[in-house]
Amino acid sequence: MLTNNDLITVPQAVVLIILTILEIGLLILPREVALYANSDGWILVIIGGFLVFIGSLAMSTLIRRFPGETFIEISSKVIGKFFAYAIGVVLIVHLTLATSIVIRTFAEVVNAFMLENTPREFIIISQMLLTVYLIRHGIEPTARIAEILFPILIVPIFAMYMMAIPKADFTELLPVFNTPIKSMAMGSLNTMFSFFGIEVLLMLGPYLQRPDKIYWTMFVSVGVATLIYLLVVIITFAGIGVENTKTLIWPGITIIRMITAPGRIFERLDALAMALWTIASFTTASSFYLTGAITSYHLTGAREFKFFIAILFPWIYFIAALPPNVIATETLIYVVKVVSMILGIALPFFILLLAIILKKKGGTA
Amino acid sequence: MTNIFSKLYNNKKEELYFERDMSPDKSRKLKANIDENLNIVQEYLYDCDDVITRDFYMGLTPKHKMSLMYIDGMVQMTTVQEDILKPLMLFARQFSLEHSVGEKFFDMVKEGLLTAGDLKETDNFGEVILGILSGDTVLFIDKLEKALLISTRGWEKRGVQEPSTEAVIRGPRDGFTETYRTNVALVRRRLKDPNLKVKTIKLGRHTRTDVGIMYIQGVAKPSIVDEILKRLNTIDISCVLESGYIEQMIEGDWLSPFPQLRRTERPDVVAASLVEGNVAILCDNTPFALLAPTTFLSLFQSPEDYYERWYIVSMIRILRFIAGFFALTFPALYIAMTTFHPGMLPTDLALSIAAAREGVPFSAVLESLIMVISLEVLREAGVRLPGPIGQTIGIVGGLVVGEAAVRAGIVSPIMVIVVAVNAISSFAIPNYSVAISFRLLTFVLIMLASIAGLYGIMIGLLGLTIHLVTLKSFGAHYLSPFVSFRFSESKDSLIRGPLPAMEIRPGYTRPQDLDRINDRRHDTIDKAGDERADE
Amino acid sequence: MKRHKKLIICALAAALFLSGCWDMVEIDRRLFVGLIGVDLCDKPNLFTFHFSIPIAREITGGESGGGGGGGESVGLLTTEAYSLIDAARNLSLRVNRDIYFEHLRMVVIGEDVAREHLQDILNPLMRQTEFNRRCRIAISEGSAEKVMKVTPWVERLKAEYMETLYSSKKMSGKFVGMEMGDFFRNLYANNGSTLISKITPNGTEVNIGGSGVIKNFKFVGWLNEEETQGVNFFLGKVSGGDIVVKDIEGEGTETFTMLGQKRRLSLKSAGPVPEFSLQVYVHGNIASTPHRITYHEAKLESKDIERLEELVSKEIESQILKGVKKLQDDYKVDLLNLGDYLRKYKPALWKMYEADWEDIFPNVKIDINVKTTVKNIGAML
Repeated sequence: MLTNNDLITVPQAVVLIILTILEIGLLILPREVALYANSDGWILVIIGGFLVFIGSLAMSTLIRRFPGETFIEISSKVIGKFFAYAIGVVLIVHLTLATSIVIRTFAEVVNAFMLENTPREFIIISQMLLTVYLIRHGIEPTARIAEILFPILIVPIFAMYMMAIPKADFTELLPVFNTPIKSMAMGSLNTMFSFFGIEVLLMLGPYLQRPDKIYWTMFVSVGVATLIYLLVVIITFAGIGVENTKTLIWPGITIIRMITAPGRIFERLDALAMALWTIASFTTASSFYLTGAITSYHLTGAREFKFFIAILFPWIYFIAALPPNVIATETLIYVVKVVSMILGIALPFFILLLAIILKKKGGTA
Repeated sequence: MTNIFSKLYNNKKEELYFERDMSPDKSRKLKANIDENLNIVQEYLYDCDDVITRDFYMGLTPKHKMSLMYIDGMVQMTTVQEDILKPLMLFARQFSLEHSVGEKFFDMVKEGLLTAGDLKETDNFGEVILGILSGDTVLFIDKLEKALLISTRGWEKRGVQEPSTEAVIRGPRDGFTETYRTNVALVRRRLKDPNLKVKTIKLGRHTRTDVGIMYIQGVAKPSIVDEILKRLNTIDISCVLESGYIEQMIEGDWLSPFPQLRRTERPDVVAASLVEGNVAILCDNTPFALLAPTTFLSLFQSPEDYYERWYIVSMIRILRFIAGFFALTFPALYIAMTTFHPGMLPTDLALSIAAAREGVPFSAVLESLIMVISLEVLREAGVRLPGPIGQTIGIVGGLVVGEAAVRAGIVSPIMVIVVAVNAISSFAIPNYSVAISFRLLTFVLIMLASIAGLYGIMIGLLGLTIHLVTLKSFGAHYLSPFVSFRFSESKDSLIRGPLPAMEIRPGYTRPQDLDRINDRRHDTIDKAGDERADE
Repeated sequence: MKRHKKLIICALAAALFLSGCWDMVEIDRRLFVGLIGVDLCDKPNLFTFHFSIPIAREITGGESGGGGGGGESVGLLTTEAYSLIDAARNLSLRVNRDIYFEHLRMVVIGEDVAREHLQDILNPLMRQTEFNRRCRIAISEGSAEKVMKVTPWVERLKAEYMETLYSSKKMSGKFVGMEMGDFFRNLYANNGSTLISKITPNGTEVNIGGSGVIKNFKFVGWLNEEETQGVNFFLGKVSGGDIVVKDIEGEGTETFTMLGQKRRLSLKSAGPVPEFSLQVYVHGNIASTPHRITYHEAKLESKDIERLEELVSKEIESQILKGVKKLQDDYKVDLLNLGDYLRKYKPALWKMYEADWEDIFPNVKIDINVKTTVKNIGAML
């Protein structure tokens, strides 16, 4: 049963979206943008963020147009029940996949940097149990925990990247604007994919306390996420050099390994960074998992959504344990990211268009 | 995690508060004949040798027989003698008793002769018995079916002294005592506000303890007051000896390591909380009062925080948070860093620790468990032993035995330092229950750290955070003001802002009157506002 | 089923949590490798690895160890293996503790290895996450073994001694100090060419003066101290050290201490062969002058200071030229970051030169201009 005060306030929504977006990108984004645009990679981040914001406008308008209604209901009104349900199923599958790859990437990174011999299954299951513990309480507690964990995560990460500045050689960011437009375009598209996570807001639309402020919410979320990505990319380029970044799997973490705490309190900060990383991955995974459960709950019109948490559990585990190595995981991540963008931007745009054409509107809230 | 009270009481609207106040059975009425009354009372109270019966007659002639019953040791003999017996036996001789026994006579006795300050008339045995047992004196009058309960309560009690568990450097030095009325008076002295309300009920089948709630009407949210009263009325246990019983019975989540009610011995703390919109629960026979609702931050506050200036207080508060963190995680961090991630330590430190640990037969985990458990045992022993011996054991145990253990090679000196820091940090936490729960959680974290190092600790801390985020204390989020963060409300959280800047009451109690300073209360009283219950 | 659900979850959790602590190794069961040396071995594909391992007990003399000083505070292990990781695993057959690389301070590569097989050594350093990106790397003159056998009298920990030597940047500009992170960054940015630190064993000490040149992932030769300082001037990396000039008037030498420098590189003309102009501004103090001991001898006047500045400038110019010449003529590798400069600031031009830069570089003309400023002359006139 969803308790009656399950509405997410505006700051909670902002923070929830930021933490959902901010996961895998932190690790691999520098490499991807370097591959497309060399030293202009950071411009790709800005353009990508901007494009994502524009794309999310479709979703926001849809939620404003149909206040209080779930996405399944909106789609049923516009394109008919059958297609809406089909899309719902696709959404559930996508969200399950997203949860799995988030947890799987986390397990891989932990294995590579922190605990080499600990079996992946243990890390995956412990993360999942923790996530389940949180999600069972409902939507608002999940948003609440994002609100509380946000400063705990962001401030140290920010500080750590700042500490890398003495080692940084900012001339690595030159030459500017030296990449052909085609690669920039392809790169921006690819960078957009790294902002996956916004479709979560699509499903959680009816639970917003202030749906009229959703434009502002998306603007702040995507803006802050872009800024953080920008910071990471710039400092990684400056610290490790553009060419070297192209050869590393997770350059975002490698740069942290190059710094040391002032006064030599900790010799290597990467274990600490990994500990904070747990927070980022945990919030993202719980966001996706919760959305998956909520979507199933909307789809089937059941009485409560906790049931679906248990249903999705084994699927998430199997898919998370499935890829044999990190290269295969990369492929899976790519698939999920593309689907996420389609579902988060293309789909709402399409439905919004139809809604305008067919002149469907929601009732007043 | 589950809140049974919300399930039980979410939808019912109950008007009557005092269904279960352990009131006496009022059905059996007094008889007219005094001897019959006395015999019936003796039936109830037979084999109670401390019940004294005093027969006497009023006036010169034995025409108006009366009888007193009271319990020796619970009454103030001076009041009984001076204010009951003397007027009735001696001063009555100055009047002619032309009224025969009847209503007029009764009124004369009650309102004209007895000089006791507090009396009540009653006509049933239930109240009579309860009155005798509470320390009142019963006056039976022959040929009347009514009796008088005269309040003569007085017994040996501890004077008002500084509470031993909550000493402060600056601040008042009076603490609650074991008498309910005295405690209420101590609070009332500080809040001379007609809106300060006191509601008393009796709890406990055998103890019939007076339990009262205090709140300031117009500031405390009515739904919280109602909720507390409802929960109190569900208590149906045989004894309520201490406020701890009440606390455990009305808590929302008894599985949580964090207390959802605060307890204090100091009236100034109670008064300050009441002004913030909290509700106080006072219990007879114990100096510990309960305060609800409470938040995580109040566990780290001490009363001195408001009497000193703000930046000193802020520094000390931050220190307490650091101490709290260390009390929870230090041994686990040690295990994680040395056995899983020695790369994190500076090289010299890593080498020192490695050198110190050579020759120690146990693994780091076992070593820390041994040390922590021994320290707990020592602490308990120190508490049980009286006065100076207890202190000595602490010092002896800590220094000498620890030193000897290191010399013998059972533990490494680093471990002794870690555990000592851990113990001392837990003493810096003002709230005792939290300090205990942190000590227990240390074990859990040590287990997790021994499995997966820093990642295990993160899982433990995340689990704890999730628990804290979802915990509610009587409708207030436990982690206010961090939840739904508003800067204006959080001036008293991690650090304490200067007093002139703290203008608004904290939101978690949702007080109806938000202004602390420049109070305009009488313009803003809102009866039973439109806020929904947060359960 | 619902009743058993909690039980199942508990059982699952118990199975996971109680099955063991996989990564736990007691700290005294680890061996912290401080220093690694790599040498060639006779057999093909094999290298000789030396590990320098501080023995914790002796370093700190902990209580449980008891007295008995005079033991070796650092142990040296040698093995032959195909790669660094292989070496560590080989050692596990002989050493009962876990070899642990996270506190690695320095990697010393023997000259012969670096000439041919640098890539083989470097690959695990980048791939394995255990290696610290802050550990230093150097090539030793002669075999690395001699470096490993040095017993410093200043410190107990060999690795600490050698690593902190490179921190004395403020005292001299005649060496190149590089951490692995910077090393890899330069290596990849410059297509496999970079400067690298040099280390020379000398009895109980090592000398870090001079530097090595790496071209296309192979070590090709040394730069001596003066040339290194020249290149450092070119790159703008001098923050300390001294310049000694001969006094024009008479015998003796004058010493000028450098505090820092600024430099500006600009393209003078672009053609088939680009021309650059380098402007270096050095400031520092006069440290010592001959003959000026008593007041009655001539005291320092401003024209003397100007003269000194000129002398110092000339000396610096000659050092820079020496370094540039060595790089251009002998090694033919662009370590002066000229290509980098073109790539970053003039990308259009860089496209023209990029393919043949290796051939163009030796012919590039550089116009060097040094200006010295004396800031302080001390307490004496």
